[in-house]
Amino acid sequence: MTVTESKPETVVPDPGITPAQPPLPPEPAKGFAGILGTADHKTVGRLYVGVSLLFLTAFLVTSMLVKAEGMQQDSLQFLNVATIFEVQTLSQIGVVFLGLMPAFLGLALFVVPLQVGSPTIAFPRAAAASFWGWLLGAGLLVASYLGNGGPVGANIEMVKLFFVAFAMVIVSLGLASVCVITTVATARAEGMNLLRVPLFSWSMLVAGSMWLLHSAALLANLLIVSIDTTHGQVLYGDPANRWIQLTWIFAQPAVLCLALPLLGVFGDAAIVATRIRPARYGVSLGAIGAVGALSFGAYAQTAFHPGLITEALFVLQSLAVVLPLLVLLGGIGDSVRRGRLRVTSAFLVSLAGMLLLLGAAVAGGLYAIEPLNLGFTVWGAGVANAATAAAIAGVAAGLFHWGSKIWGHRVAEPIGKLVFLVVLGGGVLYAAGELIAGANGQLPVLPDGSVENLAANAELGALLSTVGCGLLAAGTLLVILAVLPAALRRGPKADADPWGGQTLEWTTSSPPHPANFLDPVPEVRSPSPLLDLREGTSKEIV
Amino acid sequence: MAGSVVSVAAAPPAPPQRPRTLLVGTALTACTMGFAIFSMVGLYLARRSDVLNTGQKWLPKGAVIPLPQPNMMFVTLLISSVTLAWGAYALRRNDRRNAYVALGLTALLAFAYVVQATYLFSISGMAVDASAGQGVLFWAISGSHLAMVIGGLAFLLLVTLRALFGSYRQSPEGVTAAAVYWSITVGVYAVVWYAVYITK
Repeated sequence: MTVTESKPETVVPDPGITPAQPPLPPEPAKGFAGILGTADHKTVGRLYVGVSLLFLTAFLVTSMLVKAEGMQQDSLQFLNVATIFEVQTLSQIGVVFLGLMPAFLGLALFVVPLQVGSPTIAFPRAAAASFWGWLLGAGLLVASYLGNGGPVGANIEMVKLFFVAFAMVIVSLGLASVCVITTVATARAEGMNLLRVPLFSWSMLVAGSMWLLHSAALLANLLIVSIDTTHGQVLYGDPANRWIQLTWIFAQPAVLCLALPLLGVFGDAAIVATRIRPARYGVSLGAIGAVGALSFGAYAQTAFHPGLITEALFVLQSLAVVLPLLVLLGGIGDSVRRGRLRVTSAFLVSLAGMLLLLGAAVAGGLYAIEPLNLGFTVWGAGVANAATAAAIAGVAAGLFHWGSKIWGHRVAEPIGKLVFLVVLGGGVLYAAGELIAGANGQLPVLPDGSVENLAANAELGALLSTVGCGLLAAGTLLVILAVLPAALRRGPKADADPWGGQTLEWTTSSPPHPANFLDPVPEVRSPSPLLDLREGTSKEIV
Repeated sequence: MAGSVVSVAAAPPAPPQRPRTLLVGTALTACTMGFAIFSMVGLYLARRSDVLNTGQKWLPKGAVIPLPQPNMMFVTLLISSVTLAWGAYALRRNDRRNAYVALGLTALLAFAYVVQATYLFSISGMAVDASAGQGVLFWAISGSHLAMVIGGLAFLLLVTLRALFGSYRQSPEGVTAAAVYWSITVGVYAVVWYAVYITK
């Protein structure tokens, strides 16, 4: 049996014969064997979330320390300028590929099958393989940096190891994305057409598709750079050129798609918080899709085409992405006005994320306006920082929203209010530091660690950015603190539906049974099937 | 399991029918691989344009890209996509003899493509460390596509063996998935063939 093999289809029974029900799945193995040998999407999702949260915190702390060390380049105490640059590349890769993307994918691997009413994820063994491949790749990636590798390191063997490890991480995350997308595309419950898919599942369908496209282009860059690094280093593999070819993934517009799942988390959390049926659901789905389409950035590789940021397509794309975000926020604002708002941690934290993402999109729009002269300054890094902070808020909000479902015990809700303040404040400072420096014309650090043009108030910008990064690290630590008791099965047990939810994941127990749903999944007639059940609605709503 | 009693009342509901799961997953994977190759082709065209704009020749000294081999490779792939479609059609009609012949023929043609590609690479004389980056791009693109074909060949052999051992009696989803993968592989080659081998 291969990892890609689908389950055998159900045989249509003869009329008059009671359909045979499958037996209960065997009790999953406990302990280490249960973790290593699992193909249960819930266990894989938990593993992804747990490990990626640790990575995220570690790399945010690393980034903060390196920023603090590099604040005054003439009085470095522990590292030299080249090492600072190297560690910064590790932090960027770590936060995105070892922290945020796997955290979202972990959430999706757990939640998406439940949301669409499926007993499992598509390709469960591939999902498990993706986690172990990602973990191995992550370990090798960190090891390559420790051995003076990374994209700009001096040890060429370790540089080669970096390419292999990074590719392994990207392929593994791509595999997990395929599992999630296929689940949404093919394993939906009876009656759930694409216009009735829960917002988080929809956002993961959009995000996963964009991540696959971006991963493919990044893999292409990695392959070319690694071949040239191994054979002659004539152009693409030249140490001065290696990293810059990979940076488009951390830059506008591609970086915005990192935060796409936040839109779904925000939508689902807002529906629960406002306690009313979502209005104009199709518009929300369209807005999420539009943000996804407008965050496509595989073409925007300024290393090969520096003039691109002044071209019409880039400028239009940068300006247009603000609109669907405003549409989504406006729709939720309308629901808040009409509904009875219950301020949950998930809603607050995701709202912080939305504000940060809107800020990133607006700043990105300004970046593309040529007369402002922000192109190629660190203003672009400010846009990326805001989007990164938004994604951190998205992960945090998702854990507050579904944490009790994931672990079966209540997540410490009051900590969420604190996370809202810390992440919002941290995100604003993290972005503002670079935006201020960029507005003053500061250029990014070069691969040898030097800076061509140090702005007059560069130290203030670096200080703000460092404090913001520290606050974001503190925010992720608070999230860990909030979910840890639940993850350790401590504290009060969670109800199946602690929020009065409207989507299918709240019909099953917390944590869900190995088969996900013991009772038949209700037929879906609207985007709010549970609300339909409560209200006894039988008519088609969408 | 012997002796264990399973309560039917407590059993979970039957899983819903899951058509197209393998098909969708395969199509996503193949499209991602194709997009990676398209990205490299984009870099190739951009680099070639830069070099030509400086008045230099694109192909480095001693390198040749002959036409007969790439053309024959394209024809081979096109024929193989027809034979694979034949195999899937035969399986849908439960005509197993035709299915075995078609799938076997497709695998043979895929192997022939690999042989032709290997020969083309051996006579191209393209140095990886050519000064303008031509070698890196050429080998990255052609090597990636060859890897895609070899992956398709492995997939094809797998579904052929499964068909031989009696799978796909109710639905030839596996073979259809292999056909989708193969069609995308052929489509990607069409782009590579034109951008790299024809326009040089």
